[in-house]
Amino acid sequence: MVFSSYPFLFGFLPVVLALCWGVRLVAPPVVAVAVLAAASVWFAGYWGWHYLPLLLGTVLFNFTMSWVIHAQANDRARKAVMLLGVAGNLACLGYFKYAMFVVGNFEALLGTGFGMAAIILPIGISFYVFTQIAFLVDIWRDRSRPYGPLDYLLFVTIFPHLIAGPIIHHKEMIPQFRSSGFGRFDLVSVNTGIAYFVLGLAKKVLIADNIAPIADAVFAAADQGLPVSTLEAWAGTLAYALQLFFDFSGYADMAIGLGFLIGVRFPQNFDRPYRANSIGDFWRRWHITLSRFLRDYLYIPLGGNRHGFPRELLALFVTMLLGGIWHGAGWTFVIWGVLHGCYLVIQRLWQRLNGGKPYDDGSRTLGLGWAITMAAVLVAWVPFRATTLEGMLGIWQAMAFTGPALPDAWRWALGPAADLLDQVGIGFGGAGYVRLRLWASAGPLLGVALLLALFLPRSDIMAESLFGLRRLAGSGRFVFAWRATALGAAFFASVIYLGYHATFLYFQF
Amino acid sequence: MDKANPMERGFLAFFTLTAVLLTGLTFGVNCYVDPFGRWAAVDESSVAGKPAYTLNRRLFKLIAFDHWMADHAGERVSVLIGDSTTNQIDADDLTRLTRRPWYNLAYGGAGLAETIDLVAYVMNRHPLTQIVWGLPFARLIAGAENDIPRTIDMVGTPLRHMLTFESLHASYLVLRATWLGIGFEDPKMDTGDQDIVTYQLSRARSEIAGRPWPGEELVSLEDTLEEAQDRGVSVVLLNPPVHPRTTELYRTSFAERYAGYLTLLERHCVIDFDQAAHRAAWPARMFLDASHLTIEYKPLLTRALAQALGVPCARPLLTAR
Repeated sequence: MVFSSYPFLFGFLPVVLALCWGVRLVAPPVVAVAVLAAASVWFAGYWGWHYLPLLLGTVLFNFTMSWVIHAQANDRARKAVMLLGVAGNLACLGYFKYAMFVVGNFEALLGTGFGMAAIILPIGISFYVFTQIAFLVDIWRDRSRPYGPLDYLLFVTIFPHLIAGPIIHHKEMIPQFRSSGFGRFDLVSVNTGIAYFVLGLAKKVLIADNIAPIADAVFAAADQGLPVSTLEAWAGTLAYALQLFFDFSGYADMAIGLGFLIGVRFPQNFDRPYRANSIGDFWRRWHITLSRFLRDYLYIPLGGNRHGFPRELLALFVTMLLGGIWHGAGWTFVIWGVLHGCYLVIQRLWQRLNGGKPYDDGSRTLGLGWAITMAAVLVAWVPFRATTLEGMLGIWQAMAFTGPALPDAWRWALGPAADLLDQVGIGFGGAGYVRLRLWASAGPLLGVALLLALFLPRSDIMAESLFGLRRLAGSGRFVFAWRATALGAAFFASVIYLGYHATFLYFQF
Repeated sequence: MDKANPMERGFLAFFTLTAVLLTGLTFGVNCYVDPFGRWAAVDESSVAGKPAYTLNRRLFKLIAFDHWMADHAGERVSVLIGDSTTNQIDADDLTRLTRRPWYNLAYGGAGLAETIDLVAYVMNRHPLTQIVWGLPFARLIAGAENDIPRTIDMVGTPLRHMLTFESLHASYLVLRATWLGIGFEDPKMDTGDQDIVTYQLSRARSEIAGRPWPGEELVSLEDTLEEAQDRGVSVVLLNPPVHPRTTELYRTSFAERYAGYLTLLERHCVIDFDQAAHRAAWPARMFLDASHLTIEYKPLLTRALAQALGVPCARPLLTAR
């Protein structure tokens, strides 16, 4: 049950909101915590009840470990228990997410099969395991007192974030469960939540899902080892980059919107990443909560910038490599992580050569730095999307102008201009996996999506200022009526475009 | 809530009103017009059926097939599956000629992967006697799109489908035609200054040349044929007649590939209208384009198929294995 589905929109969500707001009319926040925890567990179970024992098992394990860490008198024991807890989480993640990959590689290396049964990846495991590792580390590091079982259960399972983040931090979440506004119907919050949710839904359904066919067609062809033209390769990669952004940031906006509806603030996860002027800037804008996690729980423990320049570069590289592996068990994700690690190392070296001056000075101009960053990010999205190494190489080769520049199907559409292009050396070839009809329908949307990704204001500005009522207080009745109507129309447009298999891309991670 | 600003209440009211009204109106209009014939069968060539058929012929045909099956409950029926070349066969005529019920589930643009899924779906859903599976050479390409899984989902969720843009679009076109008399025509192909056969063959050449042999799809095809045999369903592969220039292109430009195609057909029960014995019976003048007969010659194909279904391997199996 994804957020952009009929069962969620017209079933689960109204029922949960009615229950939550209803109990808060007569009961304290703790009752709403119980209601939402039950709803969240049901939401997790809806994906497959067989996922629940693992989810609830990790909750029980980490909850118990937090109290065991807290109960230890000396530092060495505290650290040992914390490490045991982290190891338990990593073992769980390792088994469900990486065991098949590791065994598969051994099988390929040794030329033999171990007959290992397929392991189904439990949905959201990367997110809830990371959330809980951070929790255990903080309990150990900050010597803070653990929370009650209901609060902790809701913190881990809270349905807006459970499946695809944002990766939340207990310190910013659990205190909210005791605030007076938690679970209550507050008109300003509800309106803001609706604005966030509808904007996210529109991003996902109207933009991401409609440009996806271009990326799907190109990468499916390349993954099957079929030839792809240069234009298709670049367009397919750009389509995927935009699909991923609108899909994932749309999901994050919906999660934040749902948070407002139940009186909880989730952290922002995106800040116009495709406007980044450097790769470091990109990572401050893309999947912000993951970057924050990687920084706090990997980069800094690995030494950060405290142990000299070479160690800093190593820490950066290893952090990104592990970030790549976190996304999936496959060589393509390893390559994606390595690429970003290399990009960040090159940037730091460049800064060093440049006297420590960062290239990304915060300017918003789309200059050379932006162009280089975009190109680097696009090149790296290829292994992220390709399902085979052959597909990845096929797309990269096509991007590097090693084959025909334009798909053969375009020859017909271009008419006499095609001969002219042929004469100047711009060749046609491949079979044109992106059909002319698809170019005609999704092509213009690709351009619009790129402009929106570059120039659309950040989600919080859109939702809280453009549609948020606090800022509208001084404006006339017509303005708020018009905006509310536009939002209602956007909701309607999203509903009639809801796909039948519209899962979110980040669910697979 | 009591302290809420009237503007805040107004915002929520306007949003809810807009969303509910538009969504409710769409649902109501689509249920009333019923462009895909969910509640009652619609003829694909009628004003009421043509827009939906053109917008999503897969879905239209599958829904129509369900209605037809409801009328033939308890009977073992036979179906034709394939692309537009198989869709030329008149199922009613075939029913009359073979004295058993036939339904034509073929539609324009059906790729190999789609027909494989369709055969499996239909076999799982209904008791069948025989399937004539149109498998023209041009469809043997890897990586063609397959929209059947999504279509099957839509068949099973009629209420959800009433809230889709596709239904709304079809309803609008039906209402426009009914109320304003503005007809709906399937967009015509722009062939530039070339004759239709030359244009289509040039495109077919580039499409087939650019795409590999569909190895994976053919493995699925074999599995599906095996499953049909297990279920006691007779499957006949059909290579429909094509324009002589089309045959010539396949035999000369794609000789090796075409030989592979013929080898594939030879392994199964097949009605091949491109065999030397048949070819003279389908001269160029009978064709509207590279692979479709003109209206006046289409009945000939139905008759030829009915006759060919008399060969031993095409006789329906009597019992499941």
